Amino acid sequence: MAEFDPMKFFALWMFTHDQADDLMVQSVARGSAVAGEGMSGGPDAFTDGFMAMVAEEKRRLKEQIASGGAEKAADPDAERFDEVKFEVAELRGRLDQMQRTLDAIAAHVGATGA
Amino acid sequence: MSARSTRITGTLLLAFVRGIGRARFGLTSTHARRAAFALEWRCAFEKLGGAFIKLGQMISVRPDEFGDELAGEMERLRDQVAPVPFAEIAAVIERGLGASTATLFASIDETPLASASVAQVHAAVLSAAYRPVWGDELPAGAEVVVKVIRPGAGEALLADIGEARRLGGSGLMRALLRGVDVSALLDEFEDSVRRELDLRVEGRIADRFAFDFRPDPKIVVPRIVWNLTSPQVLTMERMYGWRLSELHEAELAGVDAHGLAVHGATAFMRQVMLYGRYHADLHPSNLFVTPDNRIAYLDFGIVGHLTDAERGDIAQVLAAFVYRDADRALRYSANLGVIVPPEKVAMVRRELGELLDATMSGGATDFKHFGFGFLGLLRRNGIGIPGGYGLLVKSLATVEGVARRLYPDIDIMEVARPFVTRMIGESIGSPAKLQERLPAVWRAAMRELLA
Repeated sequence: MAEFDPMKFFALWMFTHDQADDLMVQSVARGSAVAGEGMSGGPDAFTDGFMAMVAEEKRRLKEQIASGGAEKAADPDAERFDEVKFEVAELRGRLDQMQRTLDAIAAHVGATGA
Repeated sequence: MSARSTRITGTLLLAFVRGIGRARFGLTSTHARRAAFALEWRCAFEKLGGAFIKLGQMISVRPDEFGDELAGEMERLRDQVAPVPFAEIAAVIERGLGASTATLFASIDETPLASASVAQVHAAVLSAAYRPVWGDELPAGAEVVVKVIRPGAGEALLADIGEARRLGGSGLMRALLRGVDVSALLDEFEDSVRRELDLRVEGRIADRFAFDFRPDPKIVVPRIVWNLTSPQVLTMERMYGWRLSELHEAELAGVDAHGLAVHGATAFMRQVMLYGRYHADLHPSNLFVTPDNRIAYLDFGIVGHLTDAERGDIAQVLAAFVYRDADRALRYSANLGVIVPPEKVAMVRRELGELLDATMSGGATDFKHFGFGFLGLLRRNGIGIPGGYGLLVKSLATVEGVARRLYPDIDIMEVARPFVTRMIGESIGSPAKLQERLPAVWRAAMRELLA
């Protein structure tokens, strides 16, 4: 059995990392090119566009870390609360409208003496 | 045959005969011939009014079914009719709301702001404060508009639809409209007319849009006053601003046209891809630019609805258009009901690729040209186009047109690019997607490594 060589293992790991990094940098560069002009089109164009977007996100993240700020995540509870508020308000609107219809019927019945 | 039937038949026949003459007895190109007939049909529909105006509006959002020429011509249909005397409008309000206009409103203007085939609109002032479904309270004294269904409009529209059904069954109309399922179309049309005749439907959609756009201070939707609303009467906040035809004045007043064009196009992408509800009748008169630099949406008569699965597939199709990927476009269009028969896939794919290269590359893209070209390509190959698909393509083309009126150099696909890219990117994290795709990813990686 071949002996484990940590130097070779790390060299392989570094080589893989460099290769992936090179490909990623090229993909980001292609994706960042102005649409239509730098873009070749086809299935790979989407991957390039996506990688450019991820790179943009990474830049924002770095800036955020450098400035010591924390990202304000959307609060799912607040979202749900808004939904409930809307549903109740919509119901109130329907009731307001139904009340108006009832008033109209009552006025009509009163007017015709039915 | 009633007088109305005679008038309809006579007007349509006359339009047909005039169309033949205008098309030089068929000796012109196909496009010129279709355009000639489209012009005559539009004039005839304007003359007939009533349901024909509504039918024309529906045709204008269905280039998939009726072709670009007719849909484009019907966009120019003018829905302006002589106003009904105010006494008749006041009677509808009083019957629907159970009190006199003097009791219901602090004041109401007897001269209408607008008068169309189905409804008439009057300015009024609230006599009491009202808390709307979403947004701040409307105080007493707030300016509102009162949209009222014209007396007899419903009956006249439904009678016209009955007449259209009779005519649609005739040999001549069947020949003229070959390829169109007239009966299904009229069923769909009757459904939409019945919905439009109940103004509460429009009010509820407006509320939902106001809620969807709550985080966006640049979008404004009129608030509905539900205690002054009935099926025939809709009272809503009055909006002030400039129509797109008055943009010069808006710019002089300091409105940022470029910013609003980009924002408006982005707002549409959000409607389609995040909310699954979109304003599908975004012609220039349904949109205001307000003095405080906002976009006001009006008139929610035609709204498209999308399921979660459809939103995902639409994002993929749009991504295919943005990144000029014909295979992706056909793969995900199939999920939306655009089925290309196997023997035609290669040809459609090649033509679509050419169309994408011609219209969606090199500087600013031209979605309208592309979208209508794509629908035409499908039609030429006898491929069925679901109504929702055609409506979406048409709506996107309209959004591009509206945005270009605000800012001629805007590239709508550049606006769509981050949206669709992010949406598809985010879908990678879905456990269902991972479970579906990881085995193939693993196989592909191993195949490459072991090749």
